[in-house]
Amino acid sequence: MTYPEENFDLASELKKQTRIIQEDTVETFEESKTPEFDASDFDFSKISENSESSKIDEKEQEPTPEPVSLDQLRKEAAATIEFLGNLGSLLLPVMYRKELFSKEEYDRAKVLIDKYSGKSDSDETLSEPDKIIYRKMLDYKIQVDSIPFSDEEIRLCSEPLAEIMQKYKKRASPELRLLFAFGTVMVPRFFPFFMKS
Amino acid sequence: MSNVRMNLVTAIVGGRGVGKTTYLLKLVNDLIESKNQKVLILDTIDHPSYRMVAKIEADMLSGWVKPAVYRLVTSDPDDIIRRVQLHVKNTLVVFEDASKWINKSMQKDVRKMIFDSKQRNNDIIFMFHGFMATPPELFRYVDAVTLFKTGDQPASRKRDMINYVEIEKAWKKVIASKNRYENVTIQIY
Repeated sequence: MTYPEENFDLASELKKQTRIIQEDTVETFEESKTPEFDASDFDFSKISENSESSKIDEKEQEPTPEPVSLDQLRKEAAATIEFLGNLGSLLLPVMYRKELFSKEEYDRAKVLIDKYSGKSDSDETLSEPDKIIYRKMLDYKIQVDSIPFSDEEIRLCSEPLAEIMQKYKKRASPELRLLFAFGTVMVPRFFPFFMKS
Repeated sequence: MSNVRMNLVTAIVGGRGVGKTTYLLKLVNDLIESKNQKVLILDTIDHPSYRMVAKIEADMLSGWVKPAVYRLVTSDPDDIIRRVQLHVKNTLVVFEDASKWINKSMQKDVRKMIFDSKQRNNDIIFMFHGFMATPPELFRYVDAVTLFKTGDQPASRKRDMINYVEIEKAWKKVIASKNRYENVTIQIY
């Protein structure tokens, strides 16, 4: 016999004897209560696509999972959105910086911010090139400060995500809402990426 | 020469409504007609097709010795797997809709149950709705695979199947058949 064997007769194989293991317990069932398995009413030959039992089989084989509360899903969805927001907070400042400043400009901008931040005389004392760099730095800081999601923004994105998680079955509405809400939140964060000066 | 066979671990893989449950019931029926055998069907949803099978409660497993066919309906698969591992011997154990019982990464207790099947004289049958529902690791441990029509392909588990070529060939034959309930069993080892 060569393996693997196709059309292996599982039923015949299971009927063969195995090595019986001593049971280390005593039957605690009353003998009269041991039931007989009687499949005589089960029609093995007539199962068809339209039969009642196959309809039940199709309906019951994948039962609805136990429902999770929407509150729990909202928490999970909020955590997911917050994570994505944090990812943005990590990456976007770097991307903005590289787009807005050369290395020399950025180094200069840091010096200017340290020296003139909060002071009203920067316009009078800075040279024109420095003024440009300084203003770019101020804009950069404003944009970077707006990157983290606010609570409202998290709620806006997590609510539709929670709905999708609750019933992920080709529901276009929550998915469209999520895409829209996420786009509403994210797109402004990309504006500085395209700022040239 | 001994006529005693090795215990078998089998996966039955097939989509919804292709006859897996009917096939299993026929298997059980044929089995108990030919020899006295303990059979335990583990179910999480009280499947209507098994309603002719008497129920057993989890805490009765430790006192079950005599041949009989029982089903155990539970919402705590991990607890039942532990009890099976502790108390069940000389039994054909069937996991109806096994994806409800076994994680994709396969729990340690399930692995132990498979490895101890010979020592405990248990045959085990796992039933899955498709290849993707079957934990990849399981394909390395089963002795046989019964293939029904599936909605997915064996290629999704190719790297875990030692005899992928033979399994794919058998699956294609099943898929090509006009018979909705077509099935083929491949012995792996």
